Amino acid sequence: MSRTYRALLRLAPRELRERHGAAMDELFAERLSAARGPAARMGVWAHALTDLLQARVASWHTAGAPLTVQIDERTSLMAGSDIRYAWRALLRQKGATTLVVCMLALGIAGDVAVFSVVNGLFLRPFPFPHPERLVSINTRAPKWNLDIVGINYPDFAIWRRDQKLFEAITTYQEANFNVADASGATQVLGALITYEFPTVLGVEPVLGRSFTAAEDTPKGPLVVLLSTALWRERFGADPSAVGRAIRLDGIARTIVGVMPPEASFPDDIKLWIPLQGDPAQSYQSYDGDGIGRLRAGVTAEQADADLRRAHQPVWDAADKTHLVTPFARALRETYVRNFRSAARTIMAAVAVLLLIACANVAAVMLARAVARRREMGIRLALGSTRARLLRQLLIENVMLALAGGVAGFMAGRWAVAALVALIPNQLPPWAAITIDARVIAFSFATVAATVVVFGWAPALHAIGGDLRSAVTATTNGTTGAPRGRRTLWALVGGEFALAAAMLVCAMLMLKAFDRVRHVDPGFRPDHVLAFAVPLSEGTRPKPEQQTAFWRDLLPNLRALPGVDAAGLISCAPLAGCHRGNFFTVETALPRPDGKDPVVLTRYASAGYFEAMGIRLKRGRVFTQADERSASAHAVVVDETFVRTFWGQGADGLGRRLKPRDSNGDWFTVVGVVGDVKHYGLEQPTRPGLYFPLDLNPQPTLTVAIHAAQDPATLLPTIRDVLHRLDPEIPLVRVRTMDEAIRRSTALRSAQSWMLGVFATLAFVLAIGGAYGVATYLVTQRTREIGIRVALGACTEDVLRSVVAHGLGVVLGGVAAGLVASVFLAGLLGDALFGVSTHDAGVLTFVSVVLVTTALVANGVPARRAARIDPMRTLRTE
Amino acid sequence: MTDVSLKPHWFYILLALADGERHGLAIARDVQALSGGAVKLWPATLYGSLDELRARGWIEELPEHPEQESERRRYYRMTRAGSAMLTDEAERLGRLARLAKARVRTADTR
Repeated sequence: MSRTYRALLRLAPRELRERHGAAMDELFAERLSAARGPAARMGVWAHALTDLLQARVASWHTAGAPLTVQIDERTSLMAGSDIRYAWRALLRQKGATTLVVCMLALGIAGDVAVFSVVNGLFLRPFPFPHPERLVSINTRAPKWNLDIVGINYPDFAIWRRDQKLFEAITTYQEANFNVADASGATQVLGALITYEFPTVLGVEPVLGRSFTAAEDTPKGPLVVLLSTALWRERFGADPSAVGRAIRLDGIARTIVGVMPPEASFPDDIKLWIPLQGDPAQSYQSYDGDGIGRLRAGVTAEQADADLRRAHQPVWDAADKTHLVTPFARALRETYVRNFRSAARTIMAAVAVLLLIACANVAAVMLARAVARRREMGIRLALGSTRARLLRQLLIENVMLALAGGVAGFMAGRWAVAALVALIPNQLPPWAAITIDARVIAFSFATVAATVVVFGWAPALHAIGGDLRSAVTATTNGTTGAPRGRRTLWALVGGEFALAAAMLVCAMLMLKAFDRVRHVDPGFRPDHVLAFAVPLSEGTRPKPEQQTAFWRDLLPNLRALPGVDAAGLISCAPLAGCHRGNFFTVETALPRPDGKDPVVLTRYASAGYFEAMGIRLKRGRVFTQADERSASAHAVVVDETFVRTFWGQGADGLGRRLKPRDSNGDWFTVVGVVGDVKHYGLEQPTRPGLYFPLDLNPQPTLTVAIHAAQDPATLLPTIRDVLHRLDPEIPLVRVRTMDEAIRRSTALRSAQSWMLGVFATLAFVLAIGGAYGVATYLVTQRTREIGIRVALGACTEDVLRSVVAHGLGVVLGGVAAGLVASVFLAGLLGDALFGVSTHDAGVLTFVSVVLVTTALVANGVPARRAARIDPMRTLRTE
Repeated sequence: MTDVSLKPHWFYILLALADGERHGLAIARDVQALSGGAVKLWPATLYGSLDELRARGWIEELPEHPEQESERRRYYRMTRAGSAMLTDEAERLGRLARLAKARVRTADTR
């Protein structure tokens, strides 16, 4: 059953609807489900809509039954006749009607689409009870320049004991687990959680139970909670799964329960195990994220202060300089920050587009109204009241707006689907982007506002003023009312100002996007394949075993046909990972701000730099020799590191460094490599360094392979190699580096693309508006032009007189738009990526394009008028 | 009502009902099949026509539903008047077709 069709049924005559509504819906549903593809479905909707409207129109012809049952029958009959009259008036002006409906539809479609996205991201609550009471908890270290440090479990244990304003707090760490069974090995995303996690979110297991406090203690039992998805996939949703075992990372764990889908927060978590943290652990590991549920009536600010109070014992005991500070803030803020500025820009673009569409509608309506002054005058003279005329004009506008609204809503549904398809991997999983009641209400409110603001003014204009002159004026005789003309030109000028501003912003964004795309990533993206290989700590608990595996893997991969380099890295570029450390650096320059820079620390094998195509600037990269003798203490740093610690122009080779607070050996810089855009093409680079891999054996590493052919074709043979070494090990996060770059710019690309589309639409609307108004005014002046030509004016004279005024208006509009654009572009801020807000090329391009097209839009109707045979125009009078 | 020429979709609806009683959805499917997919009746047209034909007394609604069928569906059958209309119309169309064939043949030979 289609709810939209149900709503549309209101268009049909009431009797029909009441008698057959359900059956009609059934037939419609059958047709819709038979339609294949979006185009066919749109066709069905269009047919159904026309069908309903036809039924309504037919009922006016038969007009046997009373129209409505209202209190005042006379009024209702008059409203009925008004509707019929309006219908005929709209049909008579097919061109203008289509134009208005299309323009309204366009503006509304954009609104619906963008509002749906904004609604999904910012307005719709999280799928938990009392979502407004959820806060995210973490720590920051201002002195180290870190906004988010992570949660250290012993600190969390103290907060848990001392906090007063939370119902509960929890900390969790996401982790990958290898799940192996007869069907093969896969990796799933899971989370280590404290036992409060379900309580904080307010979710209950759908089957079994969640963890007890006793299970969440060091050396606790090996238990696991499954997500509904994993339970279905692995156990076919069998209730007896609870109590059975599942092998994770080579260790059997007992399933105690199944969680509902919404518990998979914040990412697509498939299973949970107890964190089993030790409050007395000797080391610090800031690996946790946190969520808290506030007591009723507590604000995020109060909770923030409460957390700091609870943290006091930590400061007193271990952190006298207040290096790390805990904080709490509204949960949504943590997850939508990336989207906020993008969404704001698009919202502004849509608002401007709607404004232009409305101005266009107003211009067309005004032109119609001016053209109908005579009709209105006659009706007034015949005894009609002004109120009656106004009501009739209003009914016309409402009908127009309704048609535009319905068409816009349909197009908007399609646009939402297109939008979601554009930014698939960037959206958080809980952000459901659908058209809900709020979106519908929003778009119809827009329609209503458009009608009231842009429909009434021209209506008043049409029936105001001097009646007698209106009656005596011939429709295509002398020049129309000057007041109407001025308003028309003002609207056109305004449209051009808005379109110019929007075009400039869109062009700047496209230029910025182009700049971002041409940023040097610091590695060679083509023909490089990267994938992660996670080892199970269950089967290879010892570092030596892990090292041995990696040693076996590399030669096997290098031996594959077509592979010319292969290497391992702990944290690949654009993979969203980060490990920062502080270093004591010999002969480092003093820091002016006293802040110690965080250094991005990676572990690389021999061959990695060659495979990834990272440029060697000086010295050498790691060799097999470095791997075999970790005692060589070699380190490779990047250029930003050299610049940050030793200043511009320093060489760096041979200098020494060591981890801060370490009493161990110094490491000697053996090579300097180019910077890599590790965090994204638009993100600033941090100083970074690479240690030889064997220093710190890792359970999960990323393999980078450079091949002569398309590296994706190597995948099957790579899987074979891995399967031969260990059938329980999966291969995850497979991507080519080209793809990684594309994904990292997907949000920006979607934003620029959409802005470009909106700006083009704005441009088309503005040109259409200019053309429409020019045509209308020229038609009004046909007689005058005829006289001029008869008196000897040549085509150029006529052209000049018609075009000059229109062009003046356009020039004024464009100039105002360009000035405004400089301020508007300033609001885009960082999104411009260093492109100047008054980029000369863009400003010139936009003005030239707008003025040239405006010239054509004005010139075409003027030319047509000048060619008219003067005798014919004069004779028709 | 002296207007003899039937609207095309009325003709098809009557044609569908000539085979026996049906509900609206079945009529729509029948009409589509009978016309080889050329005539698709959309909801308001279909049910509007059914009401109209009923008002003219050419079809009537069955007082009760056949067993094991959905409650809300209304069933229709053709009346004697409707049957006569259909026959008349078929004859008229037949005459028209014969006339057209004859004319086209003379046009060809000329």
